[in-house]
Amino acid sequence: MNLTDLFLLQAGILFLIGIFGILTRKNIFKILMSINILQTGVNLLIVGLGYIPDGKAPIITESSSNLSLFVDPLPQALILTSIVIGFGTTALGLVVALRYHQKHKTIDFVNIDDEKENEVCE
Amino acid sequence: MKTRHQNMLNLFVFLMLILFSAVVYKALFNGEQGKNWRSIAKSEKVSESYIYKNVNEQNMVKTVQMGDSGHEEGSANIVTSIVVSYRAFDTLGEILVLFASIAGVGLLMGKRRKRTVVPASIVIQTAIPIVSLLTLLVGIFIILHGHLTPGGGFPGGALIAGGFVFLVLFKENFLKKKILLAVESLAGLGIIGAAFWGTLKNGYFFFNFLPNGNIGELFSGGIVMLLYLLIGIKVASELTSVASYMIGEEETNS
Amino acid sequence: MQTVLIISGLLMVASSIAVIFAESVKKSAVIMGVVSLIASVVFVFMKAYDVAITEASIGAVLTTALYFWSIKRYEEQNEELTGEE
Repeated sequence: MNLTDLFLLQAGILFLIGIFGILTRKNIFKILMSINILQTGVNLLIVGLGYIPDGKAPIITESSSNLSLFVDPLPQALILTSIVIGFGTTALGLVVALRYHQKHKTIDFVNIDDEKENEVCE
Repeated sequence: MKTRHQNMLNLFVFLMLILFSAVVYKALFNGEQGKNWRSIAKSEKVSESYIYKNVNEQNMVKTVQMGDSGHEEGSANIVTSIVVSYRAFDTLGEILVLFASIAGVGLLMGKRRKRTVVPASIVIQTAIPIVSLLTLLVGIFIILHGHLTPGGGFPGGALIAGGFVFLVLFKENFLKKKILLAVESLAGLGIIGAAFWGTLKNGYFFFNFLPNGNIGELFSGGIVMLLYLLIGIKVASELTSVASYMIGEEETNS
Repeated sequence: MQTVLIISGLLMVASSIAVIFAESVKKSAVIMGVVSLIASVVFVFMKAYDVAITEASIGAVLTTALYFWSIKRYEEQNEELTGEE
């Protein structure tokens, strides 16, 4: 088992835990946190696929004579922007959750059809 | 009854995920014709034309060292050269997505009633200006050295936003939304203006119209430093405005 | 190197399970920051220093603060809604 296997194993387990949380939790805050965990797993997966054994960071310095040892810089550049977008979408999701709580007076996902039927009955 | 239902759901999802991971594992390790991700050669895996700063030409000269000049692009950090120079159009789209999500936050966020707040203790009131000043300095350093060292506009902007958020603990109603909005709009206009200035110069969107310099010096990389400065200002003002929307309170006189 | 990676991976997996099964939301928010912090350490092992510094500043600090602000607002709204009835 080399290092890349370990990276991919961690990423896969985080991904699965994220999906588990999204499917089973009812609290909206918990669901957003599960989405964050899933996103962390995906980031780890994509950056880990660009790793090569005994790689070096893709920065040209005085001591870096052999550039063929550099790890892949392209996934790092993509993930760099993905993290910032993740923050923005998390903020938007939290605000939508607060509005949901203002309207339905609960933070859990409930069956909205049941609520409507109850209102009709009352 | 309800807890039992929840346990059943947990168990079902757990079993489904085990099945899913088994299918993915089989697809990864026993792919068609014995090919999987382990058998990929290193030359197919690493994008070498970005590393050797040679995307346009056919024959690749595999020598890039500190102090060189005359390459396509002159920043020592290759990730930065991809983010801001080669794929600057992607970064522009990313900034637009961030702007759209922050606009959604401002649209949906209601106002909060003014509450009596416990005043901060003297330890916080003494320490917060020093800590936030140091945070702002580190953020500006990270932004300005984005083409030489790890970092750049995004983490530097986040650090500057963190410094301003610290200042909110020290003084209430410190953040003014209109000033933040003006700074953010000016930075965004600056990015698009730099892109169109490159178009006027040479006909390409985001063309590098500044001299490249030697790799490893402070003023190298041409347009990279300017663009990362503008991106840092924009990201800092956007993240600070998210914080001000979240903290924001209703005015007492309104 | 491998031992450090295995230990950090186990910590990350355990804390992300704890995020889902924690009782209160505030505990989950704090442990969420821990997950991001360990992930940034793993990014350092992948030689992705840019991603590591971004994850540590945005994912570990600002996202946790965001969760805390919104949980505070949620509690205030909860008080108002239950007080009116």
